Amino acid sequence: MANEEQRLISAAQAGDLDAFNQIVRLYETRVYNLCYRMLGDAETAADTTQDVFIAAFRNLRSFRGGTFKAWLLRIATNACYDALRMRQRRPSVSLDRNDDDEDSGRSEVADPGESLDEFVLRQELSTAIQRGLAALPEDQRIVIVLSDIQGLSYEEIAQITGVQLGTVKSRLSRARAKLRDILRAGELLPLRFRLNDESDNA
Amino acid sequence: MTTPPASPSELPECDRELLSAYLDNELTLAERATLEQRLVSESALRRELAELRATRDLLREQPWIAPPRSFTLIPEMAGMRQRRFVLRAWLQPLSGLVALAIVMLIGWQVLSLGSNETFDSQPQAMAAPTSLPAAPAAIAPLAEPTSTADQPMAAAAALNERNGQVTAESASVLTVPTTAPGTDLQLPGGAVGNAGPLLEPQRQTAEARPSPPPLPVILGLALLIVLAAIVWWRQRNAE
Repeated sequence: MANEEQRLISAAQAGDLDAFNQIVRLYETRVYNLCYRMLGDAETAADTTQDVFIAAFRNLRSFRGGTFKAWLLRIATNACYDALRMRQRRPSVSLDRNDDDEDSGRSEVADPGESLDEFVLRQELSTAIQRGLAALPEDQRIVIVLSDIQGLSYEEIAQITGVQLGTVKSRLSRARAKLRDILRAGELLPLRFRLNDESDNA
Repeated sequence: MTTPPASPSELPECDRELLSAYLDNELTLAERATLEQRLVSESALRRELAELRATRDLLREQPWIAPPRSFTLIPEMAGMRQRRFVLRAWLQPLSGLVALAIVMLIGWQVLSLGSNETFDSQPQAMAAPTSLPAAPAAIAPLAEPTSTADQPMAAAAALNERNGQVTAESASVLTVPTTAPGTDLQLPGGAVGNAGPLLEPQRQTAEARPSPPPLPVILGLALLIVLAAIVWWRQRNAE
């Protein structure tokens, strides 16, 4: 797999667009999810994802080895920051969109065997989490998305965000605590998922 | 079910960092052992750990969202031009060298011709010294006038031949056997001279004095082409 990816990268660096498109297919879901969680808007996330891959192709020769995933997600992170800055300058889309808008563009379907209630509940939870993420500062949001949604290690997160390991650790801790506080407020988190007073439930 | 109030944790920041890193197995063995000892005795620490774990697990359980469309690139997106004809990679520098050789050859020809024309454009009177000996008929059969042809015709044929534009008519004239090598020839400039000696010294002088090789010009031309090729190559890479 790694060898195949390296072969595709080498071919793409030589200008082979088909090889690069195979890389796109490998990573587009990951990049799109990062953009969606950072931006909270399916349309902007899709546009930003497209920009990420265009920028990646044009700068592919600057990739000198290492982890391609980290290199690509760094481009995605910077693209998300750019999109957020542009949104601040031209605030036509808000992160605090209503629930109907929130899920527009999402293509979730009910799992087999899942009741309608469970499906609705899951959707509500997803919306609540997205709202909670949107309430976090950007530097904390990117870290918690990379860690808890993308499943990356602290080292990879440090590489992607360009900060020290200690900074990653503290930002992640603050992000989790703040998200926990937001969800505990009960306004965003469906009742079933509200945390009990687990005094001795460690 | 009791829902605790939404109040921020009262634990110090450093403890929260330890708990968060503990969840991710990012603590050293010593840090981990110390924290686990504290967790046994401190209920607030345990509660905080449980809540942080629940929050992290909620995020981890979130399904990945399917992208709404494919993000594969087309050549226009990638800034690539559609080329109708593309040489193989190893042929591209070769084609450049061939083009360079062709241009140098043409340049050499043009400059050589220009040099000859400059020489030939000297006034006829100046190019026909009267002191030159009459050329033997054996070495100048082509340019010698005929005894049967009238003089203007012979002059025209000679001029045509000199310019490398031998026509069929002039060729037929020139193949007539010569009989009078010393026949006078009326030249356009009005100078009267011997047709054989007049043209042959020019040819001989031109052959004896080849135009100096315009090497600096050729080299300059080549340098210009190389520079243009470099600029083109850089622009292509920049795309």
